[in-house]
Amino acid sequence: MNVVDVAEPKLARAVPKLEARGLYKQFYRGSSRMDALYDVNLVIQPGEFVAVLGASGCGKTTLLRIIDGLEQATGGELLIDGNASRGTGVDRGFVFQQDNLLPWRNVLRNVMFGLELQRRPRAETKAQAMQYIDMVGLSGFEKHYPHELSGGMRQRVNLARAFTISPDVLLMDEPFAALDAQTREVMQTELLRIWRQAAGGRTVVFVTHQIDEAIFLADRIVVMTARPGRIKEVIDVPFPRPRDLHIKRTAEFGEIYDSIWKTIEQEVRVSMGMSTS
Amino acid sequence: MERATAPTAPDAADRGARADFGDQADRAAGAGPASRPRSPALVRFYRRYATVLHTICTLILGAVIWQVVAWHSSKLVLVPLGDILHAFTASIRSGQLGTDAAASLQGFAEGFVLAAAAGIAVGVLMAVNRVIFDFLDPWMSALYSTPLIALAPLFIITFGIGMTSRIAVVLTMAFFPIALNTTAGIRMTDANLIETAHSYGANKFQIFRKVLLPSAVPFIVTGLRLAVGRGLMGVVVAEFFGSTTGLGHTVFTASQNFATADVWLGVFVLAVIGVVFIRIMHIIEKKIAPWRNSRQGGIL
Repeated sequence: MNVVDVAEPKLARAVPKLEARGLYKQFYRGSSRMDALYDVNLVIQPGEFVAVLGASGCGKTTLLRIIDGLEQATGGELLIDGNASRGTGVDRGFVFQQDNLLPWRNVLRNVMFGLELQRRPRAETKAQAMQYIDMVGLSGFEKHYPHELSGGMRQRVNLARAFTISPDVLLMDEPFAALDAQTREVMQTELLRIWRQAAGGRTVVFVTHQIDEAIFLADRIVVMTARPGRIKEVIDVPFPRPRDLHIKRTAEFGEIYDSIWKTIEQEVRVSMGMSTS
Repeated sequence: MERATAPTAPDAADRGARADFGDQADRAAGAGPASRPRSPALVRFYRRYATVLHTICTLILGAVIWQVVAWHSSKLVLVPLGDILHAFTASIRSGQLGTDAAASLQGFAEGFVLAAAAGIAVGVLMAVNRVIFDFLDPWMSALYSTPLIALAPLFIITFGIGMTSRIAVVLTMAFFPIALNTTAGIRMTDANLIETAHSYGANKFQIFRKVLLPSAVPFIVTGLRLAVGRGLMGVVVAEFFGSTTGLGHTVFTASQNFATADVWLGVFVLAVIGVVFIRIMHIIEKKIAPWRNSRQGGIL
């Protein structure tokens, strides 16, 4: 993809929400160099739900961190609304794999954290926070401290905290990976519901290593290669929304799963240091 | 684009799937399902007040051992508790104890507050600035492990006899554990929390104020607790050499006059002051750091 494509009038949506142009990322440890990302090109439209799927260590988290501004790309460009990104911003919310709640704050004050940093009026901040606490189904738990909550509940608080700052883009780094299988399924459904309810049709970039999670959640799935991470394939998911867990039992879901697995199996083997034959 | 539409029927179905609420309530109720037979009243009373009962028992046991040992040892070293109680009432009546305790407490409290302010400030500076840390750390470590109390006579030469030298010795003794613990607490802040704050757009001051400082509170309180003991030691030693009032001065003169009961009285009062201050620290910690309630009772 080059610059000319973006300017083409046939693209109905004028400016993509996010655009990665030839992103490179290298890490140095002592004298050794490690390539994390290699020429990543990606265009994400406003309101899209994109899953980034890849074997562990393929650089998918690094890509997400570059989008958030927590990490600088070694080369290439990251455009947000057509402008080059500079560091972190309140237009993007990051949901980490660990819930990373502040242990000395109760649920309400954790959810208020983001808006508080923006020095919004306290009443407004509180009202927003209460709204999203309700949306994630934690009404009545406002005064509870994180250590009094289960893992699934803490991750809901984490989601509420991210949604409360009303970011244009939500960046999620395997947010459900630490949860047990059943809680995870519930949380996936919940995420789609909250995403639908939250005003403004937010763009979501969701990093995961779980194929079924990616298919269930996303409009498009970006499959990455083993390190150094490159985009291997982009798959459109045909299921209409709203979706529920039943689509996971359909034959179509199984077919998509199989085709993605074939694509990714080879990469998993590479990342494990196994032969690809 | 359906995602822009208002929430519709499937939301209700989604809500039904919220399964993980129950476990919290279950855990809270886990102590006594209705089906389990109730324990006898005495056992329940014991379970409820175990710590208080244990404390009372150990105090009584300590008093008994004290008396037994006191009967068999020189009255110059240990006196029966009755004698100490007698000394206590006499000292209260003469007003001596009140004057002494007030003088010692004032010196201790003023020195302690100064040490807390200076210790937290220096500890913070060392934690947030690498150059300051590198310059100060060798001195801090060396001075913390040196028995600075040996320098007390020099303080008295410098500040004269009276309150100032007392405060100076307490400050010197109490400063180091507070500063070192503050630095350690801030440096041990979970890096993930700092990064989360960054990603939410926090500036440096906000990261300090809303992440580093609260995270360090339990460490700072631990430093303050250690400082109580060292500060009390400081006030007593300062009064040994450089004072005409105070508990330390009375203990010192009493020991020279072989008034052993008065020596022990002074020591007991100092112990009570120490325990009270440490309790105050506990209460402060529970107030400002409720998430860090240390485990009640035994671990195993």
